[in-house]
Amino acid sequence: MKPIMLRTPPRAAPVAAAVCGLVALMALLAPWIAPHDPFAVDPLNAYAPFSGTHPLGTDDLGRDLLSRLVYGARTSLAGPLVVVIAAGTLGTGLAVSAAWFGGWFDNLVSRALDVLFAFPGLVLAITVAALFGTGFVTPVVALSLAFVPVIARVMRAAAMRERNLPYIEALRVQGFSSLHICLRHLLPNLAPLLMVQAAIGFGYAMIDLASISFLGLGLQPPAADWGLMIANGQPSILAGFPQQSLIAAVAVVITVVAFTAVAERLAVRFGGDVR
Amino acid sequence: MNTPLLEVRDLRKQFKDFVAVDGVSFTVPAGGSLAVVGESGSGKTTCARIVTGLEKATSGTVLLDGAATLDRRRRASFVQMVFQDPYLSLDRRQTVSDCLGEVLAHHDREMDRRSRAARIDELLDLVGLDRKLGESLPRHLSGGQRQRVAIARALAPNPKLLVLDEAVAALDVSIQAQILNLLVDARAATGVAYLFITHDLSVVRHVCEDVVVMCRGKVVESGLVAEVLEAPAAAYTQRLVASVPRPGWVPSRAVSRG
Amino acid sequence: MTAPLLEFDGLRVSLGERPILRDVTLSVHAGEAVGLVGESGSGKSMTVKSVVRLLPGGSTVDGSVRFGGIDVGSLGPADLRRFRSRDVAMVFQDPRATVNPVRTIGDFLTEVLRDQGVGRAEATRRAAGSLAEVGVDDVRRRLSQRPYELSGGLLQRVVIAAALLTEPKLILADEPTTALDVTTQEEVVAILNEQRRQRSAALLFITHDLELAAAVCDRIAVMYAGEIVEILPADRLHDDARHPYTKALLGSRPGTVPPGERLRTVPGTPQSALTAPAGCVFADRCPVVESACRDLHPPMLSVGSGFAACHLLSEEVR
Ligand SMILES: Nc1ncnc2c1ncn2[C@@H]1O[C@H](COP(=O)(O)OP(=O)(O)O)[C@@H](O)[C@H]1O
Ligand SMILES: Nc1ncnc2c1ncn2[C@@H]1O[C@H](COP(=O)(O)OP(=O)(O)O)[C@@H](O)[C@H]1O
Ligand SMILES: [Mg+2]
Ligand SMILES: [Mg+2]
Repeated sequence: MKPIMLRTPPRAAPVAAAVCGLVALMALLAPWIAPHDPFAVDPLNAYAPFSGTHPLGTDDLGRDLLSRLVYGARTSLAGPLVVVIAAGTLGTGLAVSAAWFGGWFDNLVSRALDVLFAFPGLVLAITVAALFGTGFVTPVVALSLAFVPVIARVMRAAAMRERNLPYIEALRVQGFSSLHICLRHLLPNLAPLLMVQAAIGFGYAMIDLASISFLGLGLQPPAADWGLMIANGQPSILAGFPQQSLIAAVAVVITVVAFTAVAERLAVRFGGDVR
Repeated sequence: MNTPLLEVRDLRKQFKDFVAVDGVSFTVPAGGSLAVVGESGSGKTTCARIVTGLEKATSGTVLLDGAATLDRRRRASFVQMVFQDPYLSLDRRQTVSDCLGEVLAHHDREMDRRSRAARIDELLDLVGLDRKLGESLPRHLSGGQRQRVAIARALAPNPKLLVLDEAVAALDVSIQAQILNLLVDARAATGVAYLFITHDLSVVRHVCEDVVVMCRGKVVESGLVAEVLEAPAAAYTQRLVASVPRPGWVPSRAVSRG
Repeated sequence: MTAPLLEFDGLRVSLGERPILRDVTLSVHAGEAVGLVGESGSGKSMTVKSVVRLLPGGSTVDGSVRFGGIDVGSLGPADLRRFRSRDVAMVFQDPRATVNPVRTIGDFLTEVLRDQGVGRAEATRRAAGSLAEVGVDDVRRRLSQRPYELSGGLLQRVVIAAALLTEPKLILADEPTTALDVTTQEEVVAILNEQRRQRSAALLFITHDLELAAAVCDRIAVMYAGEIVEILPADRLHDDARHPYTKALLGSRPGTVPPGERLRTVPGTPQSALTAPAGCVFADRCPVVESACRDLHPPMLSVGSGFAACHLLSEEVR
């Protein structure tokens, strides 16, 4: 996962952060801000154009697109969030213990990560979903696993550098336990880097999960999910009504770009600190 | 004679097939001050790391107060270390008081908040740091101030022995003088012994009584500072003494050719 | 006396609003070695960089640096390149940062000569000769080795050999031995000294070690917070130093007092041009400061065998 190089101008960062915040707020407050029930089918009103009652129109079943978009933010954000939290925790845990204990344990962990890394994350997730069934949980678990080596590699290198710094050695000379040093000193100092990794990973996870939904291996209709909306909107495009796919796609792109821009900003900000 | 604080006997350390320390022996008496000098790569730091438990010797013995093994905490309250680089030897996220407080709490669980705060102030006074700096993060301190914090942290558990690995080498001359004065004072005040690793002979003359000269992992000469540095016997020590810039010194390139 | 080879005339450098050099006036004559001594952040490296105009982007320069009577600030790109490659040579603290790690020592040494149109065989011959002169043995093998195969001391000699190859009139050496062991330092400065004397090249030698500067140089300039506060003949350093900062530096080395006694220290930490007071730069830390020192910038006065910028000396001069 190499960072998407966007060359975000510094002034765009607050805007990006605001977009991230808005999307998150939208997901949290969905029941209160959505104008309609996102699942309410109204066949007589299918493919309604933009209007006062349906600001973004309706889909092929006459469901309100704005409401579906707002509700869709929930699964579309929750998925990547779970992925980065799970992969971040597991990856950092492995990375720090490998760096700390070194020797054969480090070798073992590094080899295992290399093997896992060799599988493209998306392919892994698709395979697992195809084998173990669709839904929200399976692709998220699979993708979390796929992201572990990505995060662990970066974190291991940083933890290696950090553990050889004299301040860590000074703590060892003070007789502190490994656990104390790792939890109270090593991890907090690695946290900024982990934040950056998580923010970058969030964007990737979002695209990957949307792709999985799009392929029909993730959430199933009638769930409101951006990836699924893009997929379900396909037949309508041919019918001359591209809104559904378009709106969902734009939501994905804006969110991914915003998160990546924030990540890049964080990376620049902490760049000097993560030595 | 009573048991020395530190006795290192026939120490050997091998990294893969490279012998970094080769049969090194020395002792530090209680309250004494032993210098280890030698060029870079001669194995000084490796010895220091073995003494403080950061590294395991390939063979040989290290006796702290006559004992070969101490548990982690006992060892820590017996021997402490100050590192060369004041910029990297403090946790960048921790204020000075937190740094000292953490160490104090670790070594004395019974200690209450009030007496801990008092002890922090006492340590800050000891190393000549303004008490107001207790709330500062390392990045707001100068190199000399950071080294004072590192010394305070090392002295916090009241160790009997302090290992200083090039602890003044990275400092400017005027700051180095301040820290050397501090070290002389701290030793007088607490009775702590020093294992002083350095390549600077004038520093050795100033703070140490005994000296061990190392070259390529081996001890080539040892004895009283006054004797060894005034009348060096080993060829390497002679070269080392002769190459220190001083009034009237003329650098010569003949040394290595001979 | 002939005109100096290198002349800093009221040089001031700032980076944006931030002053870096406040007033540097110093001359180096042909064949002369001048030591520039001071603690870190005092502006020694910046002074040297301003000679070859390698200052960080956004710096503004006031005053002038003249080489052979010509203001280096007025040189066009082609002349500047010529000046950098033929008239001056630089030796830095870390030889590993100077030498391209993946190319051979031979390539490194011959690069500049080849650039000047010297043939390959001739360039190699001269490179080998130069290496031999700086005391590198087994020259043939060395030429085909790469930097990581050489120790720091040996590599620094290679850098010096390269510096001498183009027969420069001026060598700028910025802490060339700080990263080396004392025994190696002795050899390296001995070689630098011997070679530059043979070729009668001038030397601007930067170090934080007063004794080392005194041994290598003819004159010593002491720098503090972006200013030169004292200039004196190297052999008069211990007897004739007048500026309180120079005296403080001399007094703070262990060895100046009997072992175990307290060293004479100056309070506070070294300042940069940004943090130093407006009057005398040393006023905040000076043990003999007077009220005039904080407001009035002291002029450089001729005292004893040298020059010093200190108000307290004005009595003595009159
Ligand atoms: N962890 C290590 N692995 C391999 N070699 C090492 C290691 N630590 C030190 N060495 C080598 O051991 C030798 C002695 O190093 P050191 O004790 O640091 O010397 P000094 O402190 O005297 O400069 C050096 O040649 C160094 O490269
Ligand atoms: N690239 C740079 N950008 C900003 N400030 C700099 C830069 N290089 C040096 N300085 C500042 O200029 C002053 C003088 O630096 P320098 O000439 O390197 O000092 P010295 O070589 O005497 O240690 C210092 O205060 C330093 O912080
Ligand atoms: Mg060392
Ligand atoms: Mg410098």
